[in-house]
Parts: sequence; structure tokens; C-alpha cells
Amino acid sequence: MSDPLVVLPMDISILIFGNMALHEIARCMLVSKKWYYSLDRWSVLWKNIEMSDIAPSNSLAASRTDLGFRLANRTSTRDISDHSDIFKSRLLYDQNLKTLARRAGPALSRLSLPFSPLITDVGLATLIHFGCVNIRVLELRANRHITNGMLETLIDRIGSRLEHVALSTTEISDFVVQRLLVSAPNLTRLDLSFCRFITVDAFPVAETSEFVFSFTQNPGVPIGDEDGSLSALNDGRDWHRMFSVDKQSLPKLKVLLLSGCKKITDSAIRRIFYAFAHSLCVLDICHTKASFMALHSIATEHRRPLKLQALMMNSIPGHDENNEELMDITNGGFGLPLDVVDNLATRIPDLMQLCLGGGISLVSDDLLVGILRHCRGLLFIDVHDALRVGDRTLFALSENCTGVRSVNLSGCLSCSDAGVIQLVRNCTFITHLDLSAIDISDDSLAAIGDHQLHLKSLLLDFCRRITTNGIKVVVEGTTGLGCMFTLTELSFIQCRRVSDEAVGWCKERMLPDAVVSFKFNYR
Amino acid sequence: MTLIKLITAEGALIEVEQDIIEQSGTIRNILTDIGLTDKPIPLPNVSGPILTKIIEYCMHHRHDTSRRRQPPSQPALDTESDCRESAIEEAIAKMDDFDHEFCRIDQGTLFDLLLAANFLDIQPLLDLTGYTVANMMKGKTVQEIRDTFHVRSDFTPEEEEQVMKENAWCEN
Repeated sequence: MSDPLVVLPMDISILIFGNMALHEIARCMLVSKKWYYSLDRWSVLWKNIEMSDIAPSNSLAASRTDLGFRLANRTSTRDISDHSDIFKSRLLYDQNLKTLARRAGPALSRLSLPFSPLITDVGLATLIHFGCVNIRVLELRANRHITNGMLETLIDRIGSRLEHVALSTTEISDFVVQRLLVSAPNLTRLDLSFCRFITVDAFPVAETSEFVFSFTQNPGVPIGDEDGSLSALNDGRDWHRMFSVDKQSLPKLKVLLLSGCKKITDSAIRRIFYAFAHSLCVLDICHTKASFMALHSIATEHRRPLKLQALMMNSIPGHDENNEELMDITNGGFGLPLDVVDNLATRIPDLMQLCLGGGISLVSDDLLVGILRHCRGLLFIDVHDALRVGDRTLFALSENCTGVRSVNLSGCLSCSDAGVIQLVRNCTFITHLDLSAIDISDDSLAAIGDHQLHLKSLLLDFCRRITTNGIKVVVEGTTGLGCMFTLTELSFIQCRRVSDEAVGWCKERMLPDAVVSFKFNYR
Repeated sequence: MTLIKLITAEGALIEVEQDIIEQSGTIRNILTDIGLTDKPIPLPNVSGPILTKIIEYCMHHRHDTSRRRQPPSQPALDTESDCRESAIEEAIAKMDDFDHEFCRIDQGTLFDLLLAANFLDIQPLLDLTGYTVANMMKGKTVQEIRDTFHVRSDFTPEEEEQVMKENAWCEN
């Protein structure tokens, strides 16, 4: 009698179903034939396809990869099996992609498949077939079947409105990136993490008034390591094809994630800064072959300040005896000269996040003190395993960046109590603090317990000198409140002087969902 | 305060203050087009009880300016704000106790309200009632949805199987 699809006009029905998640709509399709055909036809209901229960990596959180990796290692086996259930139920096959491309058609605005190992060219071709030309977010991760030729055709046909593209962990070649930069003028976010075939040639060479993509050697700009960067993936196509784009039509890229792209070198970074200097906010080049030459070129080659807000360079190579140019600018592998550091810091005044962890030998107190003097808005700093970072950095941090939220100092063996105490006294907004393997005593812990009001995660693994009493003052404080109401993660793995009963003691006082890690037993 | 005269579908005359009824885009447009007038405005597809209900809603929300219709703007594409879930949460967040109570009515009235809100162009009420209807389907089995709206299935078991298979990818 009162079937809403019969009594209500179409636009109202669409509005009603617009309130529902995809799986609810799919269930409603089973109600009757009329419902099936109506819902199948209303393309606007199918415009956002997001096959993910994992929160989309926001630019700042994503960069804390090393911390994330640590946390991932910590999850118990039970958690891992839970995730695999999600993956199993959300895997898309080509015919599923065809179904949704048919339903959404040109209305499709977001296609987000973070784990799509089963999609092949056949599935992608349906996007072209059904005219999905308005896709703004395209995410296709973890796929080995899609060929470069197909991706190029796809981008060519439907690229005009693309804004966010994530193709991480696929085997795409430079041609695909070039095609993106040429045919997607609205592109702002490009995630190419772990695309191991991407080389310097993916990015355009700056000519006077236009940018040129080319594979011909350009004498003006050195082309990176000639270790066969033109991979075998280019399907025997013409190597010398060239595009040129004028400066205006190149997309205003804001976020570029290249972590784990093993063929990305300094010359690629230089090209990136030339092409996107005035829009780029986030650059992730962790685990690439880029070096401090990149920082040097920021300091010396750009006159205007950049918009850079996050710079992630974890685990890049440090000093390299074979790289004469690098040895030259770093005083023989010692570090950037002070005036260059100063210049660098004034070029990146908006910096919020800096990751220089992973044991880069060139990271020193001088560098960080110089940067921190100018970048007072810093919220995240990660310098783990930097052996030459000590208390001077911590003093600078506590003096200039009192709003800092996340500090990772694990393995910074030169840091001591004095620096840590100063830091936690002045910076009271810290939520994540990693002090693993630093030689600190219970005094630091007492300062943490008394001054930190927002601390959520505290890692103290391998801190040999801390004792049970130290752990207690973190949780309860001596004069202050302690962190027992905010802490959700506390770890003191391999702290020999902390006794076993500390775990139970913490569990009794901390929040019920808090994780306390002790030895290698994560209960 | 100026009183606006409205004539319902039954021909009854209802007077309502201008700032209350101007939450309706349709009435607002009429008033800007013809100017303030003493002549009653006919609303041939809104019945008396429904109009009373709508005026009750508008009275409650007469002071919250945030609900007034914003000029349509290009929706910003943010990583999170674009997804359906956040839109739903936003709709829930905007509701207050009055709204929940307001929607505890029978299905027929609810649908009439939807139609009237659509005709009168009162976006917040349209969102509220639309959300309420959607809520009647959420978390229910197919048979329960059929029972709620008195729909009879005309699928053969094979067809039903076929549809289920087609949609297996987006089932939770």
C-alpha cells in the first residue's frame, strides 16, 4: 500500500536512499523487482565506492610510518586475522567493477580500492566503456595485473577531473605518471608509494617557459643515476617521445608520496621542486635514494619560501664517499654548513612535520637546531636512530616548538635526562612520545608524569636504567596527576629493572583499553 | 510582525508569521516575486494537518540560523568529508530531541510530510524526514523491509539468488 518507491517521486526516493550505506542499498535491491530496477538505475547512489574499513591515510598520520610499523608489529595474531576477514569480504573482481561502473556511469566520483589484487585490465576497461569520466578520487592499490598501457588509456580518457590518485604498490612505469601530469590538470594528491619502477623520468624537466617530459638527455639538467632507469617495462615503445606542457597547465600538486620508490634520486627531487614548488605541501621520500642534496637544493635554488608543510625523509642514504657533490656540500660528510641550514629553514617556514629518522648519518644537532629556530609550528618530529642528535635539539625543541604533538627519539643515544626533562616540562601537548633505547632515568619519567596532560602513547623499550618506581610515577605522577587517564599505550619491553608486577599494577590504574607491553609478551 | 495567509488543500485559511514560514524556499520566492500581499497564498497540495505540523516544525527552528538554506556551493572534496558515512553523521548531529519526537508519526503522515517539505522547499525538514525513512530500512532483513512497507516480492528464487550474487561484493 505505501511502497515509498510508488508513492514518492523519484528525487525524494533518491534522497532517502542517499542516507544509506552501499551494503544497505544492496540489501534493499532484494525487496522487489521495482526496487531492484530503480536502485540499479539511480546512478547517484553509487557515486562513492569505498572498499575500505581502514581509515584513509591522512597526510600527517600516514607519515608516521615507522611508528605505525611498530604498532603493527605489536598487534596480536587475533587482530591480524580480523583484518584478513575484512579483506576477504571486500575483494573486488572484474565483474563487480563492471556492475558498479554500469550503475554509476558518469556519476562515479570516487573509486577507492585500497586492496585490489584481483582487478585486471578487463575491469578497468569497463570504466571507459560506461563513461565514468567524472572520477575525482581514484585509488587502486596492491595490484600486479593492470598493464601500463591500460592505465595510460584510462587516464587519457577519464583523467580530466581526477584530483586524488593513489596507485601505490603497483608496477606502473614513468609513462603513466607522465600521462597523469599531462592529462589530469586538477590533480592535487598523488600517492606512488612502493612503485618500484618510477624513476626521474616520470617528472618533467623545466625549460624556460614550459616543462618537457623527455627521455632524451638534456644537457642543462643532469638526469639521475643512469642505472638503467628506463626499465624494461616500457613495452618496447618509442623512447624518444616528448610531451611539453606550459607552466600553467601542469597540475598544482599538493601531496606527493614516493616512499619506497627505490629509483627516485636527487635529480628527481630537484625536478619535483622545480615543477611543483609553489603548491607542494607534503613530500614523502622515505626509503628512496634521495639524499641531503635535496635539502641543499631547497636552500640554494629557490628564492621564495616554499609551501612545504610535511617533509618525510626517513631512511634515506646518509653520507656517501662516492658521491663527490654530496661530500662537497656537507663538509666531507659531516653535515650541511650553518648558513645553508639557516637558508633552508627560512625556505620552509610552514613546516609542521619533519621526519629524518632511520639513522641518516648527516642528521645532527646543528641541522635540527637551525631548522627548529625558524619552524616554530612543528607538530611532528621523527629523528629516530639519529646518533648525532642530543640534548641541544631537545632544548631547541622545548624553546621554539612548544606545541609539538609527536616526538620520536628512539635510538637517539646522545640524548639524556637533562634534555628530556626540559622537553616534557615545556611542551605539554605531546600525545606520542618515543624514548626507546635512550639512556634516561626515573627523573625523566617523574617529569613526564607531572607535566604531560595529553600523552597517549609512551614507549620506553630498552631503557635500561628505569625502574618499577619510574613506571609508577609516569602513571600516577609525584605531585601532578600522572598520565593514567590519557595513556592508551605504554611499553617497557626489555627494561630489566622493571619488575613483572608493574604490568598488573599499570593495568589496574590505566584505561581499560590501554595496551601495556612488557618483555615480548603483549598481553 | 507581518502575518502571511495560506490556503490549504481543503480550502482552510491559516495565518502564520512571515519569518516562520520564510524557512520555506517556495513561500520566500513567492513573497519576493509578488511582494508582501494581503491575498492568501494557495497551497493546493498541502493538507491542513500537514501544514500545521510543518508550522510546528518551523516554529521550533525559527531561531537557528545555521539551518537556513546556504547558497549551494561546490562540495569540497576532502578525504573524509566526501564519504557517505560522514554525511549521515552530520545529519544525526544536527537533530535534537524535538526532531526525533517530531518524526514519531505513522508512515502515511511521514510520506505526506516528505512531499510537502519537498514542495515547500524546506531542506532541513526534507533531510530529517528522508533520514527517518532510511532509518526504517537500516539494519533490517529484506523480509522485514517488505513487511514495513507492505511490498510483495515478485522475484523468483533464482532471480533472488542472481541479485544476491551480483551484490556480494558490497555486503558486509
